[in-house]
Amino acid sequence: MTLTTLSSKELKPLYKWALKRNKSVMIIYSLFLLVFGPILNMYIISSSSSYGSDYEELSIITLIIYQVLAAFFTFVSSLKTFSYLHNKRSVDMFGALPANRTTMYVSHLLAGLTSISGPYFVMSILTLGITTRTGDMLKFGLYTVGTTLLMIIAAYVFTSLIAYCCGTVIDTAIVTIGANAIWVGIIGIYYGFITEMIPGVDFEAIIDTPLLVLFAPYGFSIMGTVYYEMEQTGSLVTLLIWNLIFIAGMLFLALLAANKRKAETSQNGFAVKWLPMVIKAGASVVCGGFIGVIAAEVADSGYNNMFVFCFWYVIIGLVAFTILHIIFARGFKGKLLPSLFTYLGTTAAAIAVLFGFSFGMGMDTYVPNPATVKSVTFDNTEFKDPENIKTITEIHKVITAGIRYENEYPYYLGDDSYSYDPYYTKSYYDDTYADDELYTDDVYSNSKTTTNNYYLVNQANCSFIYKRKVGFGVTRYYYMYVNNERKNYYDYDKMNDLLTKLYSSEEYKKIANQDLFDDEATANIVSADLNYFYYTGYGKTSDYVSSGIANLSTDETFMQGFREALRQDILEDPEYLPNVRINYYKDNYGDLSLGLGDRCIELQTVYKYEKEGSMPTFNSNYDYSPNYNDGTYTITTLIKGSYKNTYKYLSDHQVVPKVIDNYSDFAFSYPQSYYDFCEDGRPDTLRKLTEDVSIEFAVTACSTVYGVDPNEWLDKNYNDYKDALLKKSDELYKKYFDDLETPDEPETKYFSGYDEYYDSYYDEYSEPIYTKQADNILNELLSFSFEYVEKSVNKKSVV
Amino acid sequence: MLEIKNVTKKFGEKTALNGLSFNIPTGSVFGLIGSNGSGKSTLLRVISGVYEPDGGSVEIDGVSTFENPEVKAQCFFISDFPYFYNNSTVANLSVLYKSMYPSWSDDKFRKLACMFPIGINDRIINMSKGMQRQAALMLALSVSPKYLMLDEIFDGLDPVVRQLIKKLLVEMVTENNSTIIIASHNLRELEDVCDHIGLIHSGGIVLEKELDEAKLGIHRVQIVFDHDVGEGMFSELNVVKMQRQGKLINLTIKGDGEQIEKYLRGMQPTYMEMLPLTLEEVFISEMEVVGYDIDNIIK
Repeated sequence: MTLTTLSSKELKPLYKWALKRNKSVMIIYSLFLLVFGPILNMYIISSSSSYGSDYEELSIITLIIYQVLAAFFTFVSSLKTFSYLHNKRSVDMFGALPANRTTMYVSHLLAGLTSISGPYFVMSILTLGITTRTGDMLKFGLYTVGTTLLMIIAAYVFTSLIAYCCGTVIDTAIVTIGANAIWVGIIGIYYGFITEMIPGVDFEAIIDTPLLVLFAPYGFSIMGTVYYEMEQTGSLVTLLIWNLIFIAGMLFLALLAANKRKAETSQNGFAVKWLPMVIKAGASVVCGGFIGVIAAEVADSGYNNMFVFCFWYVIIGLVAFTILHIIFARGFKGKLLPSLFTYLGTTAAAIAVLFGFSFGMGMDTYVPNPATVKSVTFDNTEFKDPENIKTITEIHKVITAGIRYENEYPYYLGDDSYSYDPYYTKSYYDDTYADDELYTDDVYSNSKTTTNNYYLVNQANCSFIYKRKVGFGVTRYYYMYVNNERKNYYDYDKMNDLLTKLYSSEEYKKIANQDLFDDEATANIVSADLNYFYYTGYGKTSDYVSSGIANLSTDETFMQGFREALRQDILEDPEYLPNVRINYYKDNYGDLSLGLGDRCIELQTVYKYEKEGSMPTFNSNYDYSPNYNDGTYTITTLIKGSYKNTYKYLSDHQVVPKVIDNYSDFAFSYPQSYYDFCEDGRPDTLRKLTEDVSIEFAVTACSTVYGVDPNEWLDKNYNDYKDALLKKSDELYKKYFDDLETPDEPETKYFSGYDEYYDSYYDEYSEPIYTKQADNILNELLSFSFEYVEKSVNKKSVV
Repeated sequence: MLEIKNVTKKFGEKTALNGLSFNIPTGSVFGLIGSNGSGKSTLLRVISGVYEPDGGSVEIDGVSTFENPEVKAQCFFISDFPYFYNNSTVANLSVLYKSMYPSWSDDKFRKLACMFPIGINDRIINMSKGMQRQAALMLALSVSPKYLMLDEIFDGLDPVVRQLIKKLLVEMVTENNSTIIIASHNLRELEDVCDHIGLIHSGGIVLEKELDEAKLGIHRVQIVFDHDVGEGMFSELNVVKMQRQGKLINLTIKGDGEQIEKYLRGMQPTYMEMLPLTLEEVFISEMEVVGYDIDNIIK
């Protein structure tokens, strides 16, 4: 397009004429926009009492509906605008007009763009004006309007190019839809293949680049919104740049086509002869591949899946190819048999490439060179320290080293043997609370009592997202969990060492405690409370119990000193634990597993937002709880028994006695809570339960009552204490249960009642019959444990 | 002067125009005749700049028409099936043409609007075939183009309108020195209005002459002899066609009329008459020469 064209005197009348032709589409489109935009929004707002974020949701929904409408009407309008090329009579009329072909094209393109982008822009701004209440929303709105306008231009120019390549409107429509769908389909299928067959490669990686919509302009704005929502700025910028390049490229080709197209092509096949062949071949790949993958998944017959895939690929691909051939040739008059050679060639090539994925193509074992990596996001945390990057690549290597060993190689489609499904695990990860994100037993990793000393990242999902200093990044997701079988393939000891090193690094500690290490955040503290917390687990259940034991002063001087002490302890902690929920399973007591390592004091710090919209985003490295009602968020930090500086600071400031006081009250009311776990009321079970509770109580008392590191205490006293406890338990067991018969199944009594908490009636409730005896045993065991600890640490409690 | 220089146009394997060359003088009404599929409409489209020739060129005053808005602004083409959008009216099309053609005349448009029995604000698509052609002609004549290309313009028009159009075309030529090229199978109407004809067949030019010259160059003779006459007796004449009905012989002969008469009279016929040929007869005669006659078609 040259300035000469834009300034030519013929442009304006042709533009106006083409715009007039598009009037009907423009009116219908505007009505849709009006109804789904301003009218609907005003109606909902006028009938709603809510204010604020609800409006913004409304605005987002409207803008997304607008994107879909824009794509649809761009398609319709572009077909209509350039339909003059597809009718011999109109070609006569326009061809004879005193205007060159460039002017003819540009005038029609501008008119078409005006008819779609004009109403879109006006209605979008109107809708934003009605619904937008915040700067963020306005930013999102304007961004969406901008990307949608770019999409309209890209899609319009693309369809115009196709229109010049085709002889009829129907062919233009088929090729336009086909080209968009085939591109997305081919990329989707190939990525699906890679993801399904090659362990570690992430399906979502496709979303990180504009590859999915590279030649599917109708998807540009939707993809842009996805990036915006996912806050993928890099992808967003890449997409926008590509959008502009695409427009420029397509415009160049369309102008070329406009000047090369022969008028007689109208109603007569294709101006570009190879175009239908490409569409037919592409459709055969997509349809054949799609059905082939489904058939292979359904067949589930191991390596034969690949042959099932090929069979259906060939059949369905042929059907798709033939149907399109009949459509394009308007029957069988076209030369079907010769064109089948193209089909056979495409099919052979596609299957060869797909089979190639069976061998991993090197992607299954590839780990980037740490020297080339700028940063790596591992388990949702971005590391930039070169040492940590190196550690993470080593962890990655431990995984890749076991990949081929564990999984049957070469891989095959539908191989469920390694339950590898990164898409699933990623979703699982996103939807799951922190309990499942980090899995370790390590509070007492040096203790002889522990057996399974393994970190597991994300429990089932482990991600590596590398950003390079130069070039494309690398993303891998793995499905990882510890079981005995897997231990044969993966070097978990090495991985554990590497993870310990990583999580003990200063960089990680600061990431995981970003508010604590931020001096300015001290001024935003609303409250800081100490809680006692522990995990309980009985059988398959586990629960988290927390109880407040002290409120700290928010005085800035006190708080700065306290936080400095805590920072120092965290930085000096040789085995720092990410402060997310920590699970620990102890094998000593068979199926009775109580969280032995999970009792700690935890610090709950409530911060206020600095300003609207400054609420931290979810981060799996710290326990974070936002409160949108009062504009605060809470960060929870563990204070381990080994944090001497912190305990000293608390002790120096008279906080410890308060902690001990509150804890003692709590501890002795504890027996009431264990009824919840007494589903099985047999004496044997009750005994184990009371013993386990007592051990936990003793260990907890070390850190919370006496300020003693439980690790040290366990190292010195655990075996003796356990022997003494079991001996005491024997005595008590005989005392309270010997004169009773022990039925195989406990008697229970049932009754109805009203639950005030849930504000509902319940029909039946069973209660263990031996609770009275268990109460007595537990109380005596707790007293015994408390005294044992007191004696062993040589301190006197204030209780 | 409109020059058609060695124009070739192919549609796939088929050659529609095959090295066509002739000139159309300015200010003439040129009748383009030919068999079905001979390439008349294709030639008009090439002249109008709708089709790009695969070879050769069409030039007006030495400038190619294709992709040349300045030259095309002097031309107007009405195809055999004029195109109108669903909502087109003569009035709104006049806005387009007025802005596209510098030679557009509002006065002429108003005058023509009174002359033709069609509503300028009526949707053209709802009009009859004849009225649609009238609408197209109204617009074309309002443009007053230097070169007007008309394809089967007389189709569907009643005799009165045909007369009106012929009159208007002649006026246009007289007033503007316009050149009109009419492709039609309606030879009777062409004969009334054309001063030049071009006969094309299978993409090639068979004949291109002034109409009178074309007519004078071929003669029909009815002749009777009282003795037997063999076919060899006319071998010195360029006999295109000979038919016998008893003793009456009908001859179609190309050549100079006086020489033919002198030659035949020298053979002492009992009766002889030289009759004028209509354009249709000229067409048939010429087409027979190139093997396009009913006998050949039946075969």
